[in-house]
Amino acid sequence: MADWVWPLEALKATPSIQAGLTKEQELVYRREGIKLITEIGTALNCKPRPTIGVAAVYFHRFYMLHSFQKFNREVTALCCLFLAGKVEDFPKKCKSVCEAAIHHYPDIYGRYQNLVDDVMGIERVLLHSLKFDLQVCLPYDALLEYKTMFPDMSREQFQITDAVQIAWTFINDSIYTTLCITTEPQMIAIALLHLAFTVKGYQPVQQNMDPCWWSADVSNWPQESVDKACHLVLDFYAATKEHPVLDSKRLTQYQP
Amino acid sequence: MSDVDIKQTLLNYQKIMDQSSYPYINDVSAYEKLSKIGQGTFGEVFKARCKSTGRMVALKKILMENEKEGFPITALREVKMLEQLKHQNITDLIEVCSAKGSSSNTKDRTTFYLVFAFCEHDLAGLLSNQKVRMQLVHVKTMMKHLITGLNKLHRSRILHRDMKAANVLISKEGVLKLADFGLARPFVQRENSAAPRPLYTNRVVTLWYRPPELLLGDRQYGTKIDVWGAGCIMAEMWTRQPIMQGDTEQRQLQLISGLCGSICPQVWPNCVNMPLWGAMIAEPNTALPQRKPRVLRDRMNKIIKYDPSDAKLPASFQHGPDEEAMCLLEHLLSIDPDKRPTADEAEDDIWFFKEPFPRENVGDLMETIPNSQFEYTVGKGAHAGRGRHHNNQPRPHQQQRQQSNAIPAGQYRDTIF
Repeated sequence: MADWVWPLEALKATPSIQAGLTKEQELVYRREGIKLITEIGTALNCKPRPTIGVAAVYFHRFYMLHSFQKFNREVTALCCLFLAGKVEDFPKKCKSVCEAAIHHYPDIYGRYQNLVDDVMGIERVLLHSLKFDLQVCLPYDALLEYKTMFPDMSREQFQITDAVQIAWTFINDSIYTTLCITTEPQMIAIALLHLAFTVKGYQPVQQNMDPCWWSADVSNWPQESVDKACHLVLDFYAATKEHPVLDSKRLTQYQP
Repeated sequence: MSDVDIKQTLLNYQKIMDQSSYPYINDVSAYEKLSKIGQGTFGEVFKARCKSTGRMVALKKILMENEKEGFPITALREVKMLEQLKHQNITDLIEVCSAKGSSSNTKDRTTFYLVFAFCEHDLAGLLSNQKVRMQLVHVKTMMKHLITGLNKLHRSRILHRDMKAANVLISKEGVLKLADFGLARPFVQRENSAAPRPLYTNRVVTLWYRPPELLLGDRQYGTKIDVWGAGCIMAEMWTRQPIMQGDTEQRQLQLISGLCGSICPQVWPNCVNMPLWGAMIAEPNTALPQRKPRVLRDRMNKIIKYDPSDAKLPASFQHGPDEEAMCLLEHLLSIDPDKRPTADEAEDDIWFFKEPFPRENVGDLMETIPNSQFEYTVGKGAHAGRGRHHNNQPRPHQQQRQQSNAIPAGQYRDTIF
């Protein structure tokens, strides 16, 4: 099936940028879409793993093929959530998704007369764009595998448990970034576990003493690429520290 | 990164963008519809030819009308499962296509099609065609394929839930493919038995292939329901038609008891916990007759034989039953689901490691099928998903007279147990 990992350069020439948004503006739009997915999904009892995580991946992929100018992010976000629910066998009625959306974000969704129909309409475009390649692998599984890789750290068991817990949160938050369209899920797990180790000052001790503890599993992945992935997530925290995403419950609008 | 590298990356990126320009999936007009060949779980099935490659495909239409929740979740499930299940013994989903609906509708109704590699034969059609003479090596090869495919399915944590000869396709090259995932669903491994197990719908599997636990109302069944189906199909390889053709669920239970012995706590301790056990055993004309002996071995021994034509075998083997085949069949058709082997265990069964060894494919068998005869018997081709096994063959005894020298294993038998 299709390859869903884009080179970093691709993010400089997305359909939205070609249609006139700046790179920073696009990132704001993406974050807002993901915020809608997360909040409405949570209200519907969906979990980050898998429904919200999968919906976010659909969303990011969709906007590598279409522009925000042509397909508005609020309806696409709902549709991604609706579709991910069906794919992950945790289906929500389209009507319930729309009602939750209107309830939580009246300023955004209140103006739609036939929100259900709009979501249905975009579903076909979404399925087309995703080429029916609906099976999405999330970084959580790889993270749980890496958890078993540090027998020396298990002496102080809380250390690895602690680090995995933090990495898990990083993965939850990484959906706001473009990490999932530039990096394989397994790599995301490595990078964010590494970030968790660093934040906590833990030394992932391994017998071969290789500072790149992942090299046994994934060779040729240099430290700098790992750092780059970590920075993407840290940048997200920095960018939203002062102004949390959708704090005003209204979408940001940039005029072309 | 050097300038050259960046340039190359950008070029590659441009390529990706070119490939993914609208329409992201093929339009169905890339295929030329030849004929309607059947009715699938959610719509019609067509035989078609790819206009650019000439490849034959089966197009399965997904009906979107009356669908309040958008693209049907059953179809999504099937697509997602088939993407996971790339295996030579599982039907090959080539792509999903779409067709723009007629513009007369105000709403833009798109129709979607699942595109499968076309298989001309299905096992039910093949078995009902008496001209197809199967040797032991063919049966063994086909069973090996069937169980390997089933093992892949179960390893991927998917239940097929509609095992039957009509859902087993055979390619021109003689490779078996498990097909029709319309009823399939993922299952949860029951590692931690403390957690409540999810309840599944009980209304699955075509009646003739339905195992005792489903007939007794079980809703916490597992992979063993498919293993029972594999057992029914294995017996059918010799009987040449479904071995237990009940017309009601009660009748099906009686047929199972008559062939495999009574369903009772002695052979299946857990049977008393089945939802319908209490009500059924109490009925005056019970569907669960007790003290019935297991006669499966007696009935099958006469037909599960080595091929006398196989010169490689020692003389003593040539007329006796194939003991290993019998043993596997007995196992697959255990009344107690826990006593049936897993597909993984069955794949390693000793039978597959004894002479005659299973081959890569049954291509040689495919070549013996006269085309015209095939058209007559199978007509619709495979993928049709026939619910019933129609037998419009001439009566067997007429044929047997003409074929008095026919090898036993290839002989048509009218064996409804």
